[in-house]
Amino acid sequence: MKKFSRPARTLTAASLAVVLGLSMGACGNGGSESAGDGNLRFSWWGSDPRHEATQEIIDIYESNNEGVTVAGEFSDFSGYWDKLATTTAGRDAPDVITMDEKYIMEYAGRGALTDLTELENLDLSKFPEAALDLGRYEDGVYGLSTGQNAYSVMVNADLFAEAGVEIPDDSTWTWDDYYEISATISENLGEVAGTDYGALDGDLRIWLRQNDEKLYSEDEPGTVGYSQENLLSWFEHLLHVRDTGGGVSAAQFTEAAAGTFEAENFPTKKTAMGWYWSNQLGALRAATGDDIRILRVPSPSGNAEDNGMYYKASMYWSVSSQSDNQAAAADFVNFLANDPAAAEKMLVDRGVPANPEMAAAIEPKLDESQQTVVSFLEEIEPEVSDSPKPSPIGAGTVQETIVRYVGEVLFDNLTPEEATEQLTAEIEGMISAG
Amino acid sequence: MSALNEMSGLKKEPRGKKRKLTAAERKEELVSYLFLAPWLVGLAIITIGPMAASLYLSFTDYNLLQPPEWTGLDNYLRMFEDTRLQNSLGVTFLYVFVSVPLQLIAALALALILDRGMRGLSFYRSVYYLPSLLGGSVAIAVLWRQIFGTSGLINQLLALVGIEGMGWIADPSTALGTLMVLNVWTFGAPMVIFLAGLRQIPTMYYEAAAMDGASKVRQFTTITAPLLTPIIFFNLVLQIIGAFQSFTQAFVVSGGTGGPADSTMFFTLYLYQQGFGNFNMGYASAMAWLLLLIIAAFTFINFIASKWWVFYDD
Repeated sequence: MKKFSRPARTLTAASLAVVLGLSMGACGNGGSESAGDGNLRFSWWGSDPRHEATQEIIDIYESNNEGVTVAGEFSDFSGYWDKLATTTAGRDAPDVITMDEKYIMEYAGRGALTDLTELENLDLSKFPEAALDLGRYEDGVYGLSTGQNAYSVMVNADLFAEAGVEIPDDSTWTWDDYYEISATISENLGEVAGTDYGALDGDLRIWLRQNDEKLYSEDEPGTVGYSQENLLSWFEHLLHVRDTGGGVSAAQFTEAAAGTFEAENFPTKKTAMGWYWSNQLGALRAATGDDIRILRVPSPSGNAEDNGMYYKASMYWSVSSQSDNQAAAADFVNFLANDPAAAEKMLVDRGVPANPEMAAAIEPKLDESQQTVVSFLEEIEPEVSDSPKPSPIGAGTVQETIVRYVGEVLFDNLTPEEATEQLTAEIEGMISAG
Repeated sequence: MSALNEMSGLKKEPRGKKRKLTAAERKEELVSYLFLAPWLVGLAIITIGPMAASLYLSFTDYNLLQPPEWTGLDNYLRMFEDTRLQNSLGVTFLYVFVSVPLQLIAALALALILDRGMRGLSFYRSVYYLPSLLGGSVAIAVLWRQIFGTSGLINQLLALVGIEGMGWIADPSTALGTLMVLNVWTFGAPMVIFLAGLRQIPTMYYEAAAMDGASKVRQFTTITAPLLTPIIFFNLVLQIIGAFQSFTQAFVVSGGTGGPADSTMFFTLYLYQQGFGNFNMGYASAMAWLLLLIIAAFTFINFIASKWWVFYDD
């Protein structure tokens, strides 16, 4: 029996060491050793169809450019940022990086990206100034918009028909219409709820914009751009949806928030309405196999000009400041942004191209749902107001934070007042550190 | 060093005495280092190096992208005001104190049953050990999501008997419970150790007890339990350390969020979010050291307390 006591003692020391396997504070070795040899690394996030299309684009580029290789590195959205943070910290970031509006300021502001206006091989002249502004940090442009998107309400026309509810006229519908439709669908279909609530940062932005406010203050960096009453009314609006029976259960909401796109409530037909970005129409049709339509968001007044919708850069192309291959990287981004051969493979998967020539080049190639997205974005153009600037430094996980508070409110763990106060404090804590 | 001397000097002189090594012995010592080399290199590069670096980083503001800036004790002081951190400690403690005892009880119960020399023992032993190998894996955590999901297996079974289920992993009041069940289910590793311990108890004790007319229960409480205390202690220390470090299950089951409503926000998961999500790697490093201290303290307390209840039969 004695023999167990000794291992137990040495075990203490050994296990203490194991604990520190966790404290991977410094995993910063390695580095980009290949100096300017034309071997590029290119990273992006997304789903399978995007991976396939992007690989085809890479193949075309490689066959046009003898001696250049492009290695793709891709993952899902949340894993993508963990990996990018660690590779960047290890000075081993990919040469060409796909960026998101939530992180571009973080990376640009901390010197991890290159000012694209200084790259000779990259022609930015075809891009409208407004599109370039979306990637601007101080005096430089650190990300090139891949295309435009708008946040919208997706409706499942088949479920609407089953519930005997007519699809509303989205140029005049109000929040009251939205509440009523949600509740009626839940009542008529039983298993299917009216809406998935719409509780991401995009939804909150829309709500605030309808009240002439913003999520982040652009005049006073490090503070939020809204008054407490408007965040409070947003939480109350979500509770109203819940209490009138129009939404999924709180448990279904949090379960979907922790899952993948395919497992969310709208793609799995648990709701008849869902809040999504316009470029997701095709993926939603594929996931449901149903007739999915895209609608403007409701407004308080029933006047579409007051609905607060805006264009967002779907993604950005960025070049790493750590790259030894900046000339080659710039040439590759130039191909992605200005060559019809690339645009025709990409189509509207990364948003409707911000370069008008590319938008025109892909027009004949679009299928019906892609065509729908393009015309939807054209239709709303007279109504959309200025785009918000990219999120400030530190805002990378604000979306998850908002969803967490919505969960707390839907479960009645927090009152809307408490959630308003705590969420604001938490967001300011994140963005003031930058 | 003493361990090395012990090894090379095993067969001859009494230990502790210094004397010149013969050429053969010196060669032997060299060879022993050679065999140790992979482990030593691993220890230096994979463990000691990052440990030292993280200790340094814990006193800095480090956002991963820019060089760290020395901030002294700021990170440690910040923990006192961080309510989410305190909540994550609460979640972790609850998880450790509920799931570890339950897991050990399950392991011991199964070991006692298997110890009765049933047919096909090695088969059952393997079957029950399997969850231990799989339990920490991503695949099982994904499976767990499915089983306890709103339309998952558990709810379908409940529906058969007319009970309406609930969103087990989506409801803040039950989500942590599902993770505890997952941990209890991986009782195989302590069970195998219990089995080995049971086998070491000399059968003559039981024979003598049986002759004196002691019941099975009495035999368990006066023979098995006391003689098994070193094993129980070993398993307890090991499982507590393991449970404090749990990460994968909560990460996968909650999709990395620690949700619903932070109810599965383990300390390690919050550390991960701070370091890789919010770019607060200095703060995350300080958290890692806090966890080290907590685990060290618990292990220490365990060893102190063991003097009163662990019985060594020699």
